[in-house]
Amino acid sequence: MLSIKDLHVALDGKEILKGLSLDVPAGEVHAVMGPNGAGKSTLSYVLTGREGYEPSAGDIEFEGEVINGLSPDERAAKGLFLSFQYPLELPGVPTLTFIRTAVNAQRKARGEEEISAPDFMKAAREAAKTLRMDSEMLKRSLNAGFSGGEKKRMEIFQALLLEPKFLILDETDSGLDIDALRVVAEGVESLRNENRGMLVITHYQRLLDHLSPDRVHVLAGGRIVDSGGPELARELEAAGYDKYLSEAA
Amino acid sequence: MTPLAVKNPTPVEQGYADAFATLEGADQARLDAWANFAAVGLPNRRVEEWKYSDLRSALKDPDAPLSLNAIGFSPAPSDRVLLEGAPALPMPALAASMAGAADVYRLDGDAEPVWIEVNVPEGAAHHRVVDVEIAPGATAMVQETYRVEDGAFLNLAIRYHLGEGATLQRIVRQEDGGEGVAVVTANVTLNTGAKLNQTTLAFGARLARLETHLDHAGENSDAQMDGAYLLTGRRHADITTLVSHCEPDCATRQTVKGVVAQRGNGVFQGRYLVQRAAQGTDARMHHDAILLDDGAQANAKPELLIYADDVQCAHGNTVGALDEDALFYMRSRGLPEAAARALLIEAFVAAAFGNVQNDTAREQMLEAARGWLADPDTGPEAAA
Repeated sequence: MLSIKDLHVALDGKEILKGLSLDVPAGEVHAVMGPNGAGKSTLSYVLTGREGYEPSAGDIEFEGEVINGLSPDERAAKGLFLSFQYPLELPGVPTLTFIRTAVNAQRKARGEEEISAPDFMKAAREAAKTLRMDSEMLKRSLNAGFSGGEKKRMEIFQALLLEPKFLILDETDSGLDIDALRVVAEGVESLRNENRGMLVITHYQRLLDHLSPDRVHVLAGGRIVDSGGPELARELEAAGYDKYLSEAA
Repeated sequence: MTPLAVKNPTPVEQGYADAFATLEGADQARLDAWANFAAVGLPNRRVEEWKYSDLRSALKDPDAPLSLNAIGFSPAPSDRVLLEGAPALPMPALAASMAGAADVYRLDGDAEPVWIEVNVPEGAAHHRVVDVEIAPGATAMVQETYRVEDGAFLNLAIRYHLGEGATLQRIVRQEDGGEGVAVVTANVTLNTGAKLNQTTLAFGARLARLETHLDHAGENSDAQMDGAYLLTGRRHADITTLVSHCEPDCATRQTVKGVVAQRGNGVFQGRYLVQRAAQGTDARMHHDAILLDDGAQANAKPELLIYADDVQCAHGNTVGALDEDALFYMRSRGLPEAAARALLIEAFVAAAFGNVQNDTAREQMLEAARGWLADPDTGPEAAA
């Protein structure tokens, strides 16, 4: 579904990703773990097409199509979704207006019909219930004055409404207390199905305890240096990244 | 009697001097008004208050005919009276010397909303003095709309006098003025417990200046003075406010937002003068501008002059580009770049309209801003 081939990315002349390759088939959840500075957030931005994060070599294929040259909104319309590590506050932009605009922009780009206001509101209510969100939160400007945990919940809320084909979760567990983590994990879990892929980028094991990934990859020094089953995440939690850091260096 | 001459006059100043010289039977107030203007002439950038808005060089046509019918009032003014005294500032003084009389509204508790709409046609000039008296305890709403066509010049002086406990909602819209020049100078006096709620929206012109002088002349008076300017091409808009706190326990709050595209030039000048007697003053000023292109400019001059010690005064001022992080965030959710920019700019500007009490008026201002954002001819994407 998502296939990354020998990806190289440099920021300000410094190479951050140095030949990263990774395959996530439909229906699977893969975790990318790695120490700080390994290039985890860079990877999430490269995949979603942020300006300044264009690959210098290599390809990103999504559903068999190379998407390197597509804009962020074109990639979103194709079904890519990034849950941000630090979601932005948009003061003055009403939450539901924003999400509905996004849903309809994606639908328009795909040549689909717009969602009606009642259908959208119904979906929003259901998503809020899944994530145990206060309806007051939905009446405010997007993320304006939200706590870190509320923002993460709002990311998954958007995912539930946008129904992407592929989710990239960038440090979605950071800033969440134990209860919020469980609720967010349940929200993500509810999106899991045989057609949808997920890439969970994380420093810690926490979210993976709830999501049980199919594969775990270790990102260090700008490439994938190890891959394995869920047990690899537990090993990393116990032993840390030291052995990879010395190898990468 | 020969009127005082302007020193080293420009052709435009000479034109006004000639026009004034041919007047017959000008009363003392009118002569004084001319003298006040002639002493300074058209303000230029060497005059501190006008250093970002060089009116003298913006006005080029010495033969602009006076257009007397450029103004529309609804309902009609209560009265038209000869001037009582001459304005001190040069532009209201010029307006007074040319107009010779003032249109007067006396608004009491039952007054219907007032509309003042000015359209100065191409190449013409219009000078006007308007006085609005709001009775003690009355609530009034006045909406002013100004439009100048290419080569036109509008110079309007408007005075508002609010009686004790009176409330005024003032809405000022300066429509896109292309190559025209518009100068509107308001003098607002608030008596005890009076409230001003003012919102200004300017789309700029060759030069557009919306200037408000506010006197807190009674205790516990309150002012909200918000505004926005949206500029493209080479348009220039100047929102200048001078607030004087003379009495105790008065409040002023101000939120001004600017969006400047291409080679537009936005100016915000705000001065709060808090006099020794004005203890308990609460005065806050905030101006933010977004520059969308490399050639865009915003000049801001916030000033706090505080002579009382028990006061709360603050000002904040930011000038920057549109938030790229926010844009990427919105685009990653599927919004095309233009839609993301428009939504972000709209949210930014809307903060200036949040205090408009009248829902229709607020929605109209938002609509005008949206229209500007979407308009390929005059909006931010227009060709310079």
